[in-house]
Amino acid sequence: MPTRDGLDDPRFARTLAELRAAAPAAPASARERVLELGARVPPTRSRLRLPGLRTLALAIVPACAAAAALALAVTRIDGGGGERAAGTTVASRGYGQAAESLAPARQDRAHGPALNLPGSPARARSVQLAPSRARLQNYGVSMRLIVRDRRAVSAATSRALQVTRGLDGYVVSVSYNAAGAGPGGASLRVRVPVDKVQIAIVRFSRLGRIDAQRIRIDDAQGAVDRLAERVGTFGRRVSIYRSALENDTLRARERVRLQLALDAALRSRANLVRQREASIRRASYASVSLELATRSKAREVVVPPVDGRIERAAERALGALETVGVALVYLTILLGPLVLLGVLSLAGLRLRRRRSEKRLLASA
Amino acid sequence: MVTISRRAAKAEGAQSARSSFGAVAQEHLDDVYRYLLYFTRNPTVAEDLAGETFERALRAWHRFDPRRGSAKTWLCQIARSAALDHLRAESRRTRREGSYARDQAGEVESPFGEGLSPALERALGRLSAGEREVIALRVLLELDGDTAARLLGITPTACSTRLSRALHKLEETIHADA
Repeated sequence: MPTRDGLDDPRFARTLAELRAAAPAAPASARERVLELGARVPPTRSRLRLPGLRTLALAIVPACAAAAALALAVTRIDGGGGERAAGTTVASRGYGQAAESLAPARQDRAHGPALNLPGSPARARSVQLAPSRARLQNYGVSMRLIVRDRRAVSAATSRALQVTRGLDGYVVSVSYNAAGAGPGGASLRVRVPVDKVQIAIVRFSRLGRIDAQRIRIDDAQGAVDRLAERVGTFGRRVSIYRSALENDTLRARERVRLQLALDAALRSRANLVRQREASIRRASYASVSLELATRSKAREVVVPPVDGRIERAAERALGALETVGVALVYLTILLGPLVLLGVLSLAGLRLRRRRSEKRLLASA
Repeated sequence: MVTISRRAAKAEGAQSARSSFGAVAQEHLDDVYRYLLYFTRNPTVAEDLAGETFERALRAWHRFDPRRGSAKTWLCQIARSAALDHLRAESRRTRREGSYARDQAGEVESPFGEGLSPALERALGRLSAGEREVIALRVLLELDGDTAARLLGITPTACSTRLSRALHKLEETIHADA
């Protein structure tokens, strides 16, 4: 059976034999030329080779994918991945203004400044804001301490009262509950001289583990100064009214009016003096609220970190895979139409070239 | 122990490359020439194109990979490219000049070489360049169907069909003239 192309077809045998027998040889001039070319040294591979289109495509696509993945990864990190702080601290805003400080939930990771009082224990690392010596301030502290058990609540409460009295302070109120099946606890409100409040904080913090601490400072000097000014104002009025009343030529009606005004001014001044003294007294003592508990309150501030190394590594690896996946999708959507367009263009060019060749070969 | 300096090694490599290209060029010159002759139907043009083919081959020698195909196939690819460039240039020239390119084969005596009968020569002249080149590749150069198809940029089936058609046409023309 002759092959499809006809080379084995007996009908063409004679023609094929003639063609092969008469196969032309290259002329001598062509042979000389080729000999001359053969004597030349072929150029070696150039060191700086321009890559072909396919090589470029194979290099560009992964490079773009890597670049997109890196950009996404950087964006995710800046966007707020990573661990959160263990707690929140708001620093004092300085003298003359109200300041508030929240200690971290877990005091063993406190970020406050180290205590700097003589004889203070290194263990107590609660946040300290020293009261001002130059201005009157309303100093308020609230502390929540965790003690071991209900029996420790009783001991801690007694000790807190001792500390208060030892610092020339006084107890405002005590609420104690260590009976029954529930968690025991106690709440104390005490006042201690403001110049001893830091000592009080240190001693109170020894009673248990600090679960929370809050300090509030409100400036009182301004209010006291304003009161003093008003006292002075009314004092001047009193002087004026008294001077006026010493005039013997006053009519009775006027004398009565002046007397009433003098009485009112005296009363106002007395009230203001009392208010001022009360403010000064209040500022001379710091208020301390102490809560003793056997259990820590749940705080929603912190996401507990993953402790295990393997878990962390696995989490990071999955995150990286996710990032790469997103980058690939991003790249596909972005470059897909361009690549398709390029492929179609190349196919079109190739088709056009083939047709052109076909026409040439048919006409030649 | 013989120490070969880097310069000597380089010179030796160059000598080796030179000799290998030279040997290959000499070995396949006739094949390339035959192919180009059948393609162009003009011995002068075929000779020029053969020279150009081997010049291109010399420049591209470092890219030749014997694992991808034989030297004969590689040279024929370069020759075909050179021939097509020539045809395109001729086509543009004739369009510019506004004249129809006459069949130059009629002007050349024995365009396909000596030894062919006049009937066969006339029949070959009436084939298209595409038909002639497939005959040259399959019959004269004895390339197999797959290699020839790859060189022509067509499928093996299309290559077989083209050859068969060309041979049929040859026979018909020969018998018609007779």
